[in-house]
Amino acid sequence: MTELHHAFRAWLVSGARDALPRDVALHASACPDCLRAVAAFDALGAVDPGAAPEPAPWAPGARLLTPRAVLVVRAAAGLAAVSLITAAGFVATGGLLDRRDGQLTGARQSPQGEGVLGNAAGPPSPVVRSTASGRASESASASPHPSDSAQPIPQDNPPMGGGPPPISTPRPIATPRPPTIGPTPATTPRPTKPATPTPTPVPATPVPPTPTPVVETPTPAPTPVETPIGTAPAP
Amino acid sequence: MLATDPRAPDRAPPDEVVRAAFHELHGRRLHGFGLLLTLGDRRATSRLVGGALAAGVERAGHLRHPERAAAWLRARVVRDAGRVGVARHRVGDRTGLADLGADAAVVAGLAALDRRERAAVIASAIERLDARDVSAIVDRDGRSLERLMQQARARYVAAYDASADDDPPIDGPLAARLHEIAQRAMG
Repeated sequence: MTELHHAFRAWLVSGARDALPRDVALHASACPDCLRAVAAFDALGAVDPGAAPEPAPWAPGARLLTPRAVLVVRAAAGLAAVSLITAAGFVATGGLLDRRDGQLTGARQSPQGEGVLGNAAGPPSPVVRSTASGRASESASASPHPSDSAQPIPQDNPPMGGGPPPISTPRPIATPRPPTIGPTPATTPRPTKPATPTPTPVPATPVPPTPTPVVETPTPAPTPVETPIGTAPAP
Repeated sequence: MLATDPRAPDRAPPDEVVRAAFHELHGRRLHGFGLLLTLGDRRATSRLVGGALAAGVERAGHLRHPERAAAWLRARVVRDAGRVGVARHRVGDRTGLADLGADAAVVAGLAALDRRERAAVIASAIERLDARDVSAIVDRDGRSLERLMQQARARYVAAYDASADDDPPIDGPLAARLHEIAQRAMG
């Protein structure tokens, strides 16, 4: 019985091309297992590949990616993403560090303008105040001394750039700016700056000198004192 | 151009015509073959079949015989399926396969086969291609091809048997042939 069963299976598996012995055919026609095997191959015959839809149009230049190529592409994309994230991290941390440096450099630059204002504010740095006050008297008396106003600033720079304390000083100076502008008109060394433009441009063109004092009027109070001097030669 | 076909250089049809004819002649059936080979993976099938058709259009001059062209296209699909790494046993879109007439038991039987075995079963038992064409499709011949075919059929039957209903329909041509032989033996 099992021999007939195996014989039929062998006949099926070999392609069912040869003639089937009668006893094997009689067995298979009544054997449920053999009939299931027959049904398996008949089910294959019922499949129609022509019932598939039309394939999608294909770009002539397109090529299939091999698994290795896919891996390479994925690895490259991953590396690019990692390097981008790393670079972004460096930029972020570098930006923070630069900001600190910028504050330090800002502390160097700001004393030129803010040191004087800081002097007007007074309380934080008594040393600066002493220099500024002396300079204020000089500016009041002799305005054409920009070199004098430039000299003390480098003197301020070394202590400012020296260490951590200078970092703290520029910040408080920056905040009190608006209030200090009003009350300290006399101490400003800026009158020295307007003093330099006023002699040259006023005689050349009468129109530009008028805007320049208008621009500078908000910051220094003493400009109105000099404008009449500048306007005098115009007529 | 003259070097390839000096007799009729002016009669060569334009590429669009050749491409349209190739799609018309081989498109659907090759797509069905690809769907069965990839177990319903539409995306992979689209790429494989499209690539094979594009390559076939380039060799249209050498693929004049329709059955040889069909075998060449299928061989290309089988080869590229191995390169692309089509999932071996994972069944994709079952509805797409059901539209072709492949029920769950057939899909289970095909899923039990590797790529070459599956291609061999599809080409021989489903598409009923010539043994020479099957040999070209699976890139085997002689005893090697015979062994591959027998192994594929045996594995397919075992997987189908494990997955089929209790009473599968026994009304196909093979069943009719068997009953005819049995009746002749009895009578």
